[in-house]
Amino acid sequence: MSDIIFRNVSKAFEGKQVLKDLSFSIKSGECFTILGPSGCGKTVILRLIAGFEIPDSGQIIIGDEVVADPEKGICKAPEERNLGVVFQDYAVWPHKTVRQNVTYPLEMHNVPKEERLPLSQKAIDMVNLHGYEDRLPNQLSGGQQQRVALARALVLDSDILLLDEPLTNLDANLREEMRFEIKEIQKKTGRTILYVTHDQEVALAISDRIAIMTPDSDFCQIADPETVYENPVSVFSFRFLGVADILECHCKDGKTLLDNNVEFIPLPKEYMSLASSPKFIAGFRPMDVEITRAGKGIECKVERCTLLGNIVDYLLSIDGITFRAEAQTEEAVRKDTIFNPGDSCMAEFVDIHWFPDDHEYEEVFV
Amino acid sequence: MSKAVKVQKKFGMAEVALIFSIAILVIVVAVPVIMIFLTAFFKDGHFNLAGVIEVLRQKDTYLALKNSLIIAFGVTLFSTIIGVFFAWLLARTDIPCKKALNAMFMVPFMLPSFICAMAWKVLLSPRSGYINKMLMSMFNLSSAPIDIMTMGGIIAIETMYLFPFVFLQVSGALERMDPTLEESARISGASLWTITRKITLPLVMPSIVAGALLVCLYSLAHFGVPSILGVEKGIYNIPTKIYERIYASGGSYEAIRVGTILATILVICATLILKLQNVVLKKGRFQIIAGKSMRPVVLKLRGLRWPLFIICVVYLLLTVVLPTVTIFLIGGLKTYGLPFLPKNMTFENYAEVFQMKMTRSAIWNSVYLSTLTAFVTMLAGVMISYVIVKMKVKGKFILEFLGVLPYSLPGTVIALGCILTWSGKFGINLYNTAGIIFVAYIARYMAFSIKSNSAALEQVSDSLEEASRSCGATHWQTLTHIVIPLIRPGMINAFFLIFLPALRELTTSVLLYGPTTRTIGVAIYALNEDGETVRAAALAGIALIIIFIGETFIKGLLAKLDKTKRSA
Repeated sequence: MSDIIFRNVSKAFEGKQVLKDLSFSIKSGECFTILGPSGCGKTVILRLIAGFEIPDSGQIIIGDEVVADPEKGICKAPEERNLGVVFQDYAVWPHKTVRQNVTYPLEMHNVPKEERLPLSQKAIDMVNLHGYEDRLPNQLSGGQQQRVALARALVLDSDILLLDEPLTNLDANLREEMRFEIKEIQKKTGRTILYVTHDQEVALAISDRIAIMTPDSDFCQIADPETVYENPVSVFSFRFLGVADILECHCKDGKTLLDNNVEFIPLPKEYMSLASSPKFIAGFRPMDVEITRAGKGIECKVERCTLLGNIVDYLLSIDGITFRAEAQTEEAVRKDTIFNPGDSCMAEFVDIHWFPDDHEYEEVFV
Repeated sequence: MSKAVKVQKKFGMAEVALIFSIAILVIVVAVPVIMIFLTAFFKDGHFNLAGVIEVLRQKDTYLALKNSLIIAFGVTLFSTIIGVFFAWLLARTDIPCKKALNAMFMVPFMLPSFICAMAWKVLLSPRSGYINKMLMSMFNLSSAPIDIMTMGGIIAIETMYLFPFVFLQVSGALERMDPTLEESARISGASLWTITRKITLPLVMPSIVAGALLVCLYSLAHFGVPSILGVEKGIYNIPTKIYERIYASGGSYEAIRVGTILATILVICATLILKLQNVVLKKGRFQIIAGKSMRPVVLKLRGLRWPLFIICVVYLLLTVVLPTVTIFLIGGLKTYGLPFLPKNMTFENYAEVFQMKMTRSAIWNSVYLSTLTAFVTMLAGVMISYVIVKMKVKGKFILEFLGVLPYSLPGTVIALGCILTWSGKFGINLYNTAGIIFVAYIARYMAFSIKSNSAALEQVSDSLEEASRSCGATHWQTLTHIVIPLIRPGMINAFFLIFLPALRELTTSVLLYGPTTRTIGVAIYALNEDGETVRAAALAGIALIIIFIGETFIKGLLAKLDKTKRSA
């Protein structure tokens, strides 16, 4: 059993409140991702679990043991918490070879000498570094160093693995490869993983549950990837999970109007409560706009139409209010919807999410 | 997993290290300084400004202050010009034999300036200087054409051996500067001359200022050169005046009190200089100097290439080779004053250095004192800089303040402070023992150690330590397995940064030595004062050999370590 539980944890740095009364729990054996913009305090959570920081108040519980509770004067040292940590900057010791790096946790935990070699070899093989055992970190690429860090965190049979943006410094191909490897390792070993990142793709790909953190260090939604993606609870999580169009609306005489008073899609029944507010928001993904030459929907003007390989990217405007749309190239050719700027077209909105007005985090996306 | 829950210690390792570090710095640095101020401003327990003013109104103290300032200003000015010129020449032009020249320009740094002053006195003193005599007989002159024993002479000799402070700082900055900054100016159509004036010079200005102020601080409190070239002619600066006052009175309290007043003036000057440095450096703190080394734009000297090369060589011959050779030749003369002819030469003096009890013990004293000082100061420096750089504890600003304080403390001041502190006032009497020199050296060189170790520690990112902790290593294991191996080059660097200057130290030791605790510097100085020029030169020659061995050893060792050191 190695659940991780936060109970009303607060932490301030030099007078700046970073975490305030935060409570959540990570279940044993799951891959839990904290997804949030940089500077929102997600690394602090990881450091609190690892024991590098001490909470100002609240309780942190790992398994069935309270590891930090300042009120009771409890604070277990990092070396006694038995976790694997992978740092954003790898933190591979430059004066030790790959083998020495990976063997170090075994030495520190007094694993018998004869078991060290097979165990370290197993970890090195797991991250595909066979043949690099005697290299020094400066003879390895960034991706390889990253894998050394991973092997070092895996070599002990610790139940919990903390990963802090471990893939950000890698190139795109390697990043893709490594995220499957991490998922694979988790499946193989059944460890609890806490993964901290600002990359929504990785988060969606590997998580069992995602916690979306707002810039003021609160979780606005904790759910499985499908739910988070399909049913975002706020404009913030909606925008954070991918390219999003945001249109500001208001209601007048039962009609939904855009800012320029052009009539938009009517509010669905279940969202009628929004109608009374002076402003609310319609959010949708560019992919969810269906474009035709003459069909159903709202008439738009084409401002820009760019072929990007397998998709076509559109910038459309409804009487001056612009938004982006996308279509599969193949489909666009079939439907003859590759336009010149200035042409007019019809746009149908397939999947609109309605949110209350929420300007709080605007600056995060600018 | 252990079930034992550890109660958070209110008094952890961080606090212990902090208190221990503060204690070291307070005892070694702060107490002596406070003692100086107390002695200067209080008499019989009363604040006594009149006494201070009285001392300052005396003509010879006032003149000593004036001389100190004039010498410091002149040396700083000329060192800056020479240092910047040669640094630019070697870093940014296609001058031949760059590598060899670069190495050679480091040599003046290792030469003890007071030994060179001795050599120059032998060559250029107005009455008996060899060069003066030669010129007089060649051109039938009635008086000596060059007199080294003047303010100008002192400034010239100090400049020769202090300019590397500027040279090192500036050439380092020029080498590390991102060449694209200059290239983009070039693409914008600026000529190389304009670039040098408008881009390069402003960018290296902080380095120039840093080097110049180091020279200024050093020169302000320098004892060796003025004492050898000036005292005989009645030219005193503050350190030589303090020495003269104390020795003329046989170390009386009154003389020491006058000394502390003069020392206070030195501290004030030094503090002002450092303030100035901070102001200038803050204004010009550009982050453009990249860590990686790239190939800069090189100015083609064309026709000037060889003439400038010859200027470099002649400069080095004059300032390095000539005085060194002179010292070794004088050391080999049967009697001082004889011409340098084979029949007048002997190895007797060199052998005598090892036979005479005084010189032998001086060499031994210097070697073991500097080794011990370097070792202890290095270790203390590691601890103090670890607390400053890595630990999150309240109150470490005290360390930061105390750690840089010795920078602004001239050697003379430290010596006086040590006399006042360690002569039994606090129950410990180290006067006339090697112990007092030892604590004075620690105070004098602590700043070097902290600086070198802090720089090394800043290279070790925090996550390397945290990774070790999360692997199950305790704080102490992390220190010994991860941190110490990674900062070893910085530690060794600190060791030699202390060991080599301590080996030839004079300014501090000359006020602290006892009958059996002469150091090499003191012994050379004393022999020279007693008119034993030949023996002094022989000992100086041996000292040069020891320093040279130490210096090449450090280079070799550091180069070897650099290969195994990886970026952290």
